Amino acid sequence: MSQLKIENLCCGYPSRTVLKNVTLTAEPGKTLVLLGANGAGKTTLFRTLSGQLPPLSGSFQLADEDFRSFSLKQRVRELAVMPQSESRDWPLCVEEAVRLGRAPHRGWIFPLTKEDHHIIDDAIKRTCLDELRDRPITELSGGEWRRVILARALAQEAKVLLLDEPTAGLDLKYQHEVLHLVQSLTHDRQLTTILSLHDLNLAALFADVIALLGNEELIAVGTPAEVLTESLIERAFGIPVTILQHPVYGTPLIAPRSHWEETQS
Amino acid sequence: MNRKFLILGGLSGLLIVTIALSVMVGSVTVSLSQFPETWQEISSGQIFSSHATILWKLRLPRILLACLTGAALGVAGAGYQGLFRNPLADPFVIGSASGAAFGVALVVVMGLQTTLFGFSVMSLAAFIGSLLAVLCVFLLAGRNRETPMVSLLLAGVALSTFLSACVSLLMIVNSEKLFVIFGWLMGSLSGRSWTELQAVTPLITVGLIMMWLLSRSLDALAFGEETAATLGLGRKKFLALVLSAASLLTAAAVSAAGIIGFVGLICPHIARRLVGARHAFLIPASALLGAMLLLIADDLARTIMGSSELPVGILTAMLGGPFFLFLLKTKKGTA
Repeated sequence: MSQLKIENLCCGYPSRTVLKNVTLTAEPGKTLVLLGANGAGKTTLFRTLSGQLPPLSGSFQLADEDFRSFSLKQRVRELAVMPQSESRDWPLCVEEAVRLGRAPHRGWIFPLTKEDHHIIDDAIKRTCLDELRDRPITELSGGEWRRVILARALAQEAKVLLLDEPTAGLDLKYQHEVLHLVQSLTHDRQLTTILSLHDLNLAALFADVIALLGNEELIAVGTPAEVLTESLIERAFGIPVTILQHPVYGTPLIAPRSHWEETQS
Repeated sequence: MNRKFLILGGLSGLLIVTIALSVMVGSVTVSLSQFPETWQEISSGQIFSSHATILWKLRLPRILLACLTGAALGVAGAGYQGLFRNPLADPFVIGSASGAAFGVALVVVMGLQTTLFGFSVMSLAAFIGSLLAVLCVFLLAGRNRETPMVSLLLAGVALSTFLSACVSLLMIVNSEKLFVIFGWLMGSLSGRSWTELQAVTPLITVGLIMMWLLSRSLDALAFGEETAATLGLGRKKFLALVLSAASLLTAAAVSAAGIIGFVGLICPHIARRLVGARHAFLIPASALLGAMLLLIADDLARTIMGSSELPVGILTAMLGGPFFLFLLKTKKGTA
């Protein structure tokens, strides 16, 4: 099982620490959502976990193996990453984009095998991209493009999924569509998924576990009901909220109150 | 997928037809009926007739050199456009042309127009100047052991501007040699023989194969450098390989034929229209199109004015410019 265990991790840049002493465990089959205001360190944490930024101190382990013992090849097989902004100005078609998920296994030169093609087809089917196979990625909508990235991650057969704001710039329907797909993939394939979101109500609906970041540290970890409380949210985001209950699912529903009116009256 | 193989096959067929036609046309026309006889004479090794001499000593090496040079320029252009993800990139984008021009201007001014190991010193100077310029750009653009793509482009522009000014200065100060340098700058395949062909063939072959092997890495770069890294692409090694392949191709082309514009810019664009953006197809298609385009341009260069020749660089630009504008007008998506 690919548990991702983060212990006392400090991350950031040599000149500036962004996050201090994060201790957190992400379990396979569970969706862990990172919440926090802009600049709270969500992206920095992702960049550290994906190996693009060396940790300042502390460690993390994947399946009880320390990240330091991972070779580059091993790391790119274990971790699939969706960065916040991924360029797509080169008109590869959907299938060609998904194929690249096999690069961590097949390398950059040798042709793909039958097994690779099988995995690619499976990833395309699972993300309902069959009809878009030959469409250039430059012509896809935001929601379709997110599905292509997820398909590439599936083709990569990674056990850990790191998604930095997978719903950014999407309409309501596509936000739910993408998160629903992420949730069901996480459950079906027992993936260890960590994603960051800005919308607290989406987090309340889709997260199994929420980690709340603020003031350079981890403020709270727990189920949505445990973490999405009035005091914790005010501490992390600096704005008063009222917590209601979702009329259908019973999950927390966050209603922000205008900060400025209150301070004036 | 099969459609793409068909298109590559079709392009190869077209190229062979173009080569056959090119063999026939010129100041002396060799008709189809004369061809078997002439060929027999060539293959027997006893070349006496003027037909056979022209065909074997002048026309054939020049045709093959045009194909190779065109292919090199097309693929170097495709490589740079993929690396920078910029449709404006061409084989000379990071200083190859101005480096070569400076090298040539320098040897011409110093009066070193001799031959060395059978090659003209001008060709050697072009080759070395071109490689040195790219190396300079690469070193200048690096900082903190990283080499950002934008810095590469900017350093390329800066060095090109500087070297072009130096070339202009050399030309003005040595006005008696102005025409020699200027003639070379415009690019020409006139008077090239088997010697030049033998020299550039291995270089261009290596460059073409290298670039084709880099296809999948170039595809990965389409998502941006960050994603390419999360798929396991080692940036430094990749950058060094693409730059070496592209600059080797460009330097070989420049040393063979001078500075020929537009072929490297336009061929990858046409190739993307035909076979899509995946480099495994895009690179061979760019090579075939480059070969064809330069060969046709060179055929025109040696026939259009009757007995005198036009520099082929003028023709590629005159044909390529309007055609490129036509492509822009009819483009869909980001071709």
